[in-house]
Amino acid sequence: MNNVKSADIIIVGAGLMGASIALFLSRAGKKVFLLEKEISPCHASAVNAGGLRRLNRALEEIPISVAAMEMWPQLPEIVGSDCGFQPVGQVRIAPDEKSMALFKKRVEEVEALGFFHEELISSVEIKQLVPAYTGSCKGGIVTRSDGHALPAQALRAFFNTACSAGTEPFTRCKVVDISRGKEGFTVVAEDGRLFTSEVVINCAGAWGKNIAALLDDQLPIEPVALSMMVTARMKRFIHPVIGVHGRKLSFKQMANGTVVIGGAHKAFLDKEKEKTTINISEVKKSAETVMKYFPIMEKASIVRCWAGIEGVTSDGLPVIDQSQITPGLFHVCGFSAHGFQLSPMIGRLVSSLVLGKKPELSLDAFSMNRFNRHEQ
Amino acid sequence: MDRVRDIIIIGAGPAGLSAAVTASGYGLDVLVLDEQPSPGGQLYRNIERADQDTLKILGPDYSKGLALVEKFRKSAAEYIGNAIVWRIDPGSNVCFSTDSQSMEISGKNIIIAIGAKERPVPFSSWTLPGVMGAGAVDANFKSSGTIPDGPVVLAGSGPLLLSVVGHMVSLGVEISAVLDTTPRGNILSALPLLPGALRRTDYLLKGVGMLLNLKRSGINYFKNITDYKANGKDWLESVSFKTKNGSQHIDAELLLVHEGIVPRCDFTQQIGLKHLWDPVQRYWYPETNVFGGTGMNGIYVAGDGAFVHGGIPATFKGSLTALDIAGRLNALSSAEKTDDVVKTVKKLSSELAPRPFVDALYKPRMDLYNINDETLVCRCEEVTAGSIRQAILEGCQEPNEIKTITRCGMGHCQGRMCGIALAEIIAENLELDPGDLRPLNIRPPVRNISLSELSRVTLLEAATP
Repeated sequence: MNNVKSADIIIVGAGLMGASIALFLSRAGKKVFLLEKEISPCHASAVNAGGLRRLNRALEEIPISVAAMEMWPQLPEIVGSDCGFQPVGQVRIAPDEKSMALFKKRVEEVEALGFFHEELISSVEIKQLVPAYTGSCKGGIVTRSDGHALPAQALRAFFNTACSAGTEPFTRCKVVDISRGKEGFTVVAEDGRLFTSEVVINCAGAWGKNIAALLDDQLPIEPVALSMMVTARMKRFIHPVIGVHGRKLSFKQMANGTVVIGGAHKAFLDKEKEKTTINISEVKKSAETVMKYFPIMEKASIVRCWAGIEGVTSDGLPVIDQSQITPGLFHVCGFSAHGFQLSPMIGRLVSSLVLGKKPELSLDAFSMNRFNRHEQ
Repeated sequence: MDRVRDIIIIGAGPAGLSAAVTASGYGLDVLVLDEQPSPGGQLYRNIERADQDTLKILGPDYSKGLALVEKFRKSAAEYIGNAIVWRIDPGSNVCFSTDSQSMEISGKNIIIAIGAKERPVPFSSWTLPGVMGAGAVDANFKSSGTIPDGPVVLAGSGPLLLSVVGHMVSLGVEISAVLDTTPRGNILSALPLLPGALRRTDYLLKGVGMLLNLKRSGINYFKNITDYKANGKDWLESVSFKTKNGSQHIDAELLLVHEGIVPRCDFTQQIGLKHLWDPVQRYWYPETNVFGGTGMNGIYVAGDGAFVHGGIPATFKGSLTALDIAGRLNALSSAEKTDDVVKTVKKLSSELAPRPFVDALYKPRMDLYNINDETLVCRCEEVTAGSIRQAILEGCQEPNEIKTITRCGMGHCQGRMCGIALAEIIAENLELDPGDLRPLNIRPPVRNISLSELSRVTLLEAATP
């Protein structure tokens, strides 16, 4: 009854990472299948807040983040869409001297690595960049060409470009089993569809742990639902994306005037049904924080709160590595709520890794080993 | 105010009121939250203050509500008017706003009884000032006695359209034309259902009466018209449409449209209930059992919000919900409950006898959403049918993905106006049934509240998912 379909590479999960990797591998001439359990991806890749941030990244991620930032303005050439890219800058405010001291140390560390995108600025300049902010301020850091983009547009553009480059997508195709024999991998979908390939790439995001477990790899990735809210359109009052040190606040005004408020406030998550429910007390706290620092928002009308499901690792860094026990199986997941900005570069790096070439940038910091090391 | 209740009822229309009367009759503690200032819902809106003329013009369908509202006022149920519910969570907590102050309360049982609304259908220039829903005119008249200035054109299909025409004739409003879009073929597919409907000849005679009155009144009545459009620059100037004899054009200052009634599903969708698609009347409705139970513990849907059956059936549906809850809370014995349930189900099924015939007779026309690319579908975000079709061409298949890409349904009404149209357009383009699609996600707050109000909301101590 079943025709087994064969490809060189099967990617599990058609979120932004999967689509980006599929694009670069297809362009390298590989036959790629992209398997997605939904009709179209609907979790973190599609509904994240869209921030593009090198600012305050983990030091390990900076080289990739910097290289990815060079790709964002070039996306029209790469995927035929600007993906709503707005290079409006990102600002992080130091509410007290202690935070400012941390910022100074931070910028020194970043510069010691040879990167100069993070710039210390005075409270006077913060006032100019963010006049609506009324909290205390001892200065801050800015990364002037960071910004934000539109996740759903980016996802659709990468997916469609990958497909035009030869990737064959299979939607409503939930992977329930993967095994490796002499001939390579056999992947079984819930509805009985069968696929074989030489390589499998696990891009299942928040479900990355489950896919890895099918081949006995253990990834410390947990699904987490982070809530956001958005207001009705407001007159432009802010350009850059704002964060305040020590406060759960991330704040940006989109090109259309709506204001998106994040800040890692957790929602309830039903892992089995893959359903999120807003935790009203968390959302209330978020509103209190915004009111305190941006009183201009007092009358802003909240249009909706929502939550996306993210895969978060125990140390907040992604896993980008080949399995130790199953050669040919790669894990690229657990981006821990900050993968959006990295995604164009991840496609490039992982395609090299999979093709057996040395990636342009080191991926050592994202190995699976690191978790075992921590345990020892 | 006690913030933990046996039953919280949302909506004070026929279903909500009847549920409140029945439940409080068994000694249960009932709170009714109503977005209107006084009980009655859409059907019996403002009935406590209606004068004799109003009662006469709107007839017994309206005045019947008086007795129900009186019973409700005499009951022990607590009533809060102007209460805007903006969230119901699956743990049975409800957030609502009065006077810009929000509060969270908890119900052992929640009855969602928010009724139905006119089906929003986009057509060319439907956003022009001077174009309104026909039901909105009735609502304005009930709330404030406002009567529209003529000349008026009414267009669309369904019993409510005829009823509004009747009211306007009684009020002496100048009607230029009634444009009936009911397809000729509907009567043929409805005929086999007529025998069932004959159990309630009173309803059939009422319908026939409305049609006869319309013909007798001498109003320009066009049957089987298609493609009605609003024309005008800043305000409606005329209405054009097609008959089998060709195109016609009528000057009008007001165009009232009506394309049937659909359940209001915003709360049932926000809370995450399963919805089904009715292929005859073409709308989503939450899956419920005979008591309005939903499979989600303590969450009930009563009245037209569960399926559109009209006002009188809604009162029986409300009673059935209350009986089930009263039984589960041991406020009445199971024998008593069964007795009352059987009586109520019998009355309900007698009321519903003509419904399949009427639903088939007024089945929405197939070309309801056959709109041109320039027509706005989402009014909040100004998204046209063309941009939705473009997104479909680019590979989008899911209403929720098209929402994120085009912003259709992302505005402050969260798709209340465009949700069904979006699904119908996708279904048509992909040759699917809209029932195969997942309706737009509805997120809290279901009604917009200000950030400041959200920051001040009084919460219960224990958060529930």
